[in-house]
Amino acid sequence: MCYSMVLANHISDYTSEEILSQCFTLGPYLLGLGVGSQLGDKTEYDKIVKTLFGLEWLSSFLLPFLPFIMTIATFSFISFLPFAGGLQHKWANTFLLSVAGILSLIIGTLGGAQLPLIIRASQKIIKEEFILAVNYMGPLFAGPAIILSNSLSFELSQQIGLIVTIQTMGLGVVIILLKKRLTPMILASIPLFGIIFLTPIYRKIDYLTAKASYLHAKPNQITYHSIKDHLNFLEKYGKLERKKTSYQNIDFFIHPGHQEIETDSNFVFYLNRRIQFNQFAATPYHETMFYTGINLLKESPKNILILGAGDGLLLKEIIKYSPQIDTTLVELDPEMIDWSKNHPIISLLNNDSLNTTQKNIRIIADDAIAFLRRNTNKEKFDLVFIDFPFPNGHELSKLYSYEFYKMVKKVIKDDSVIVLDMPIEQNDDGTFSKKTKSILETLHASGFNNQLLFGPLLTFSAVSLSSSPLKFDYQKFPKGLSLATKINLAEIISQDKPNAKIEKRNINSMFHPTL
Amino acid sequence: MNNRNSTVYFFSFLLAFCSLFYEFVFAQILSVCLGGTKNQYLITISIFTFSLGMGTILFNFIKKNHDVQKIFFFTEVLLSMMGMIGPFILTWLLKPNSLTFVPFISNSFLGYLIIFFIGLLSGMELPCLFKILPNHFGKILTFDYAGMLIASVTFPLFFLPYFGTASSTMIVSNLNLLAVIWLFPVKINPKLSTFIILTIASFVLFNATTSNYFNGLLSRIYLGEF
Repeated sequence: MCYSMVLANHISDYTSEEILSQCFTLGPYLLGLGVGSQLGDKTEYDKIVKTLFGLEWLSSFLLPFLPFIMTIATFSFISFLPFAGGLQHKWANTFLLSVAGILSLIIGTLGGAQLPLIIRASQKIIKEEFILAVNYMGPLFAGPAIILSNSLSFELSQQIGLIVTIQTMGLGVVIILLKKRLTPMILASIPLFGIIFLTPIYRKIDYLTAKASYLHAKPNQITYHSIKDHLNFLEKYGKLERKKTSYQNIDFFIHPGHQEIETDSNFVFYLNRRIQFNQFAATPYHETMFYTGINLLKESPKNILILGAGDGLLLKEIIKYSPQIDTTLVELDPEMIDWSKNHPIISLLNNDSLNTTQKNIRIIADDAIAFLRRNTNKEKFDLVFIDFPFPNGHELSKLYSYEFYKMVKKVIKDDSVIVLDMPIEQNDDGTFSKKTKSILETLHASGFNNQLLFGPLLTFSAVSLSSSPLKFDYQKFPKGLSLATKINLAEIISQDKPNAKIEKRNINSMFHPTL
Repeated sequence: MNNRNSTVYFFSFLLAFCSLFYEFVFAQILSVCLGGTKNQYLITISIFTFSLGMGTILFNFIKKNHDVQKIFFFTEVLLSMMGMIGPFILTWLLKPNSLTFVPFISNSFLGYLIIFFIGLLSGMELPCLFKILPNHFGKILTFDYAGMLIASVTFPLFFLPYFGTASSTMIVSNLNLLAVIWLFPVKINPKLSTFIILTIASFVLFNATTSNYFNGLLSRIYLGEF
């Protein structure tokens, strides 16, 4: 079961769909158990022990390679299949989940074939219900083991290595009990050496897969030389820094400049393989977010709440504007905060804001939802910035839900302003996309009827509980804003009918996700 | 394949579907109330598979003093009831500023106990079916696992996006209940009992498919408004 859980973990990193990844590995795994048990039933009685040993050895040899096969399949999808856009293509998740399902089926089949053999071999000594019960105890430790290894930021190869070690030890005990000779012992230890050998190769494959997914690069032809050139290109182009925390994957890709067309180098910052900002967007993004909030408030804020924004760039704008404002920054991932503090480029961009020692600035490593639940009706903030990644996947869609906005409502005043980063997508006819409509209707249903959408380049929404319409006073924006920020202050108008009836089924809820 | 075998295989499929479905529902609620979707699903799957084993052991003790069919009937009725009201109890236990009901034991732990209890009841299903149809171990297991596969595919792709957490569990638990009633007609005052159960089940099923009432209720409990 550990292998199945590791696989689920692994593909949720690529798909950003945690529920689908868990369900699409568990289901085929369980079916595989059923298929395997049918095969186990058919083995002749005198061959049971030999078959059992062979199956266990095969599973310890084959199963550790399956997550690596998953990575190779991902690389193949990006590089060789005729789908543009890499992992953002609409068929990417279907492909990855299908491959994961097949691999889980194999894991389950090998595991399922063993149980009937164990029962038949020991039927005369132990009752089958007892064997079944003991067998089911294994998964009780599997889940917590995977969770623990995730919290310690174990890489995939380290997790697999741990499982193989335990499996090899178990096989060793069986060999000793059955008083087998040296040869089976040597055979049993091959998978362990295999993993040690594979680990550096796997790291390289994972690195190249990540680069390929960000560059959307494909070889010109499917020939040996073309693929070799493609791999060389991926290896040499730019520099990709990767950090896996217990909450997310942080990728920082530095693209080289091109002398021929006179472009400078550029960096792109990704969280869980989704772009957050690049070098050119960093300033306009955070300037837009901050100065629009200040502009929409009638008075200077006394206290500000930032949810997310663990990179510290928004905090920099606040400190630059007025270091005396009481500011609370709530970021889920403490490693994100540490990384942003110590990264040479990010710490330069955020002006070392996360290292501030000012007592009026609190930086809290906590889940935003847990923070809001604990602070309901306690502290009230004048200005709130909600800077989360876009809702790709269930975990993030909770942060754009009815319940979340209702909790935010409890920490603001009637005339407070909230500025949130959200996807605003328009169809060809000028109406909003289903996703955008869902978020806007969710905001409306939570009580935020007063909405202003802006940002033709980098999209935002400002909302308030007050009834006075939100409008920018363009005279009050500072003169020193970048040109891209000034362009980004334009309002977004939709062709949707104003005051149209809200469809309840469009409202995104934590218990009924629509995003 | 005769009728008796088909019925047992069908129930093996259906009950496994329902059991795993309930666990996904609870995993979903835990992920909302406690955070960390990945971890909550992993913990739920671990507890569920472990408690299935414990249910098998428990069955071994209970079967000595009771009829297998009675055990099966009451297990399924209890399971359906837990599927119906369990999500609301769990959300209520984990709402903000909730009182601790058992000294020194957190409400989260009580929540995991509910999941364990459902797995325990589910674990008693298979041995019952093995007793009803002996020597068909492999085939019953296969249908059992097929039911779980369908649950794992339909939950995220169909039930969760179209019905939401609470409505989905209402639909499935009512189907669970109706299947058991059909298989085991109640012997004491059968007409009245069956009429009442079917009426309630129809009412709940109707609500689950036509409105967002149950999801809204869950939402209000979560926000501490109930």
